[in-house]
Amino acid sequence: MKLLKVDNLTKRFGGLVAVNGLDFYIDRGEILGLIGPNGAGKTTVFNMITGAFAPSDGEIVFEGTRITGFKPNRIARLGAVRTFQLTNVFHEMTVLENVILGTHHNSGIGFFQFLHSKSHIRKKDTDALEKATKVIDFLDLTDQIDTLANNLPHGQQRRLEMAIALAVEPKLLLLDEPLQGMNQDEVRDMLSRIQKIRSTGATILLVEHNMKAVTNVCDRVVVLDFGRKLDEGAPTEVMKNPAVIEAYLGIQA
Amino acid sequence: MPKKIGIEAILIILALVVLVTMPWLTQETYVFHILCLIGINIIFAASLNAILNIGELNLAQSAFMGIGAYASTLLVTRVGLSFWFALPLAALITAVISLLIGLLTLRFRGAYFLLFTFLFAELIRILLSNFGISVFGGIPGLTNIPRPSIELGSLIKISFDSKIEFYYLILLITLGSIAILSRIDRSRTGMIFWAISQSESLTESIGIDSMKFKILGVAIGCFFAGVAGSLYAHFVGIITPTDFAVHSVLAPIAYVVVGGMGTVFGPVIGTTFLMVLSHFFLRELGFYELLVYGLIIVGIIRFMPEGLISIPNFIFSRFPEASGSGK
Ligand SMILES: Nc1ncnc2c1ncn2[C@@H]1O[C@H](COP(=O)(O)OP(=O)(O)OP(=O)(O)O)[C@@H](O)[C@H]1O
Ligand SMILES: [Mg+2]
Repeated sequence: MKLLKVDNLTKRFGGLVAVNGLDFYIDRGEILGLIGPNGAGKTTVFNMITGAFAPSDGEIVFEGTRITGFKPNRIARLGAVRTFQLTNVFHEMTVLENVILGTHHNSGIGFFQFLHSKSHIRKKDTDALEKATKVIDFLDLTDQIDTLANNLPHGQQRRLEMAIALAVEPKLLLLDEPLQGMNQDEVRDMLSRIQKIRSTGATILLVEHNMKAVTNVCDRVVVLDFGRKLDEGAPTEVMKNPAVIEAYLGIQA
Repeated sequence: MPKKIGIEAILIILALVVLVTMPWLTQETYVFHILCLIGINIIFAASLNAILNIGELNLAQSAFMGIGAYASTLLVTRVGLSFWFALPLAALITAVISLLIGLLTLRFRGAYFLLFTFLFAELIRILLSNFGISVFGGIPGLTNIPRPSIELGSLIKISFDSKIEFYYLILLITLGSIAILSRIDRSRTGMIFWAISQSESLTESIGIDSMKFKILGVAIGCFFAGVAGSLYAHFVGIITPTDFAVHSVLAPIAYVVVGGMGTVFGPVIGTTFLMVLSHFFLRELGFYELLVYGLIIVGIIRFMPEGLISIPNFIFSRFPEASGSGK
């Protein structure tokens, strides 16, 4: 059953058509790779699905609801949660505070909660705390739980981003180059986590330049080039397509 | 670090003792006059900081103080309310107006927000100067604003005519305002304000409606700008549109930056330090007063970018053994 479906999705920036009449879908429980050379429009697709940009044309349907033009916070609450290509954490907050904020929208803590002290994180808020510590543990950040995000090395900041997103309890997790800047061990680590996340029932849309990783972890890929869909299918099949090879080589040459 | 909290608590208690016993230390009217102005400016600087907490600088903050001042004055002189009802009502009116302005302007960020709030400040000044002159008094403003008094039956009557009585009133309201703002700062709501100022895109992407919280942050800040305005009007007794023109937000911005942005006590320390400096120490310098004042501000910003409030951290990080003893 389809969790997300986009139809004729288009984004124009002045004269530039960053995404051009794109159609694709994601089945529940799937890991779908969205690949393509630099500037192909992958992040722009993310920005439209999660509401950061309004599409110039086309439709986005999530769980049967048309979410085109919804605000990012509303889409996140419906269950589509993203991470960012450039590291995006609350840098002046600790790991725990970062992840606790991820649980906020589900916490039942209302709007005018001036009496809801931050220190209650540790005492009264046992539900949120339990959820947060579980996610932190899953991403192997327990030793850093009281460290300021700013003071974490890059690899751990990337994991923290994922922890924040998981704390929101997404149905669809959109990861924008989560392996960027990681060493081989960290990459292997992260890939096994991504597979574990899927096994808990989440669906994943993965943007990644690391082709080996994409081949290993994705059920299916969609290839973008100049905003258009170039190919779609099983990773190994798609990589054999001369047009796909050309798109990648053409950029590198 | 519990030992640091201990030192902070001692400093706060010491400051409170000095403030409460002030009339026994001196009877100088000038001292109480300046102390009252410092209190009003602390509330105003804290209100400015409350909006800085969501990551925006509101250049119309003085205009909102003006709205509070005019509203409070008119509620007393025209509607016949007592000061005790006029003050909270004026603050509420200020907050409600800021709510509407927030809805219009908060979708703009950074430079655009600055520009819109600048224009709003000018608009308010022009309106107060040229329209409804029979009510707002035009450019000369409103004068003979009465001081508050308390009458309980016919026996007890306290009027706040003297500087010393007014001093206690302002001290109380300033402490109350700071207590409320620091309570908000430590709450979940305060945590979300802080999150928005660090990354609005991430705040949105985890399902939090940042616009709702930004509007709330502006309303809270402007409520206290209204409190400061009401106190100012009834303390000074005269208000004019230029008192609240856009340039009058500049000195309080310096108070906040010098004290330490993003903290509740930063504006308190910065306002006290700079106002004491300029009103008690630099007066003797005459011609050079502004020069020295400016140099001190620049020096602090240059060498202590996190403001005076970072001095304890500064000392403790230099002498870790001094901090390790109190545990
Ligand atoms: N906000 C924007 N305003 C104008 N042009 C933009 C904007 N965002 C993206 N673009 C342009 O749209 C095109 C697609 O960009 P996008 O970031 O989606 O590519 P990408 O596939 O994510 O690339 P990369 O692999 O480098 O991250 C690029 O030409 C980019 O310059
Ligand atoms: Mg990208």
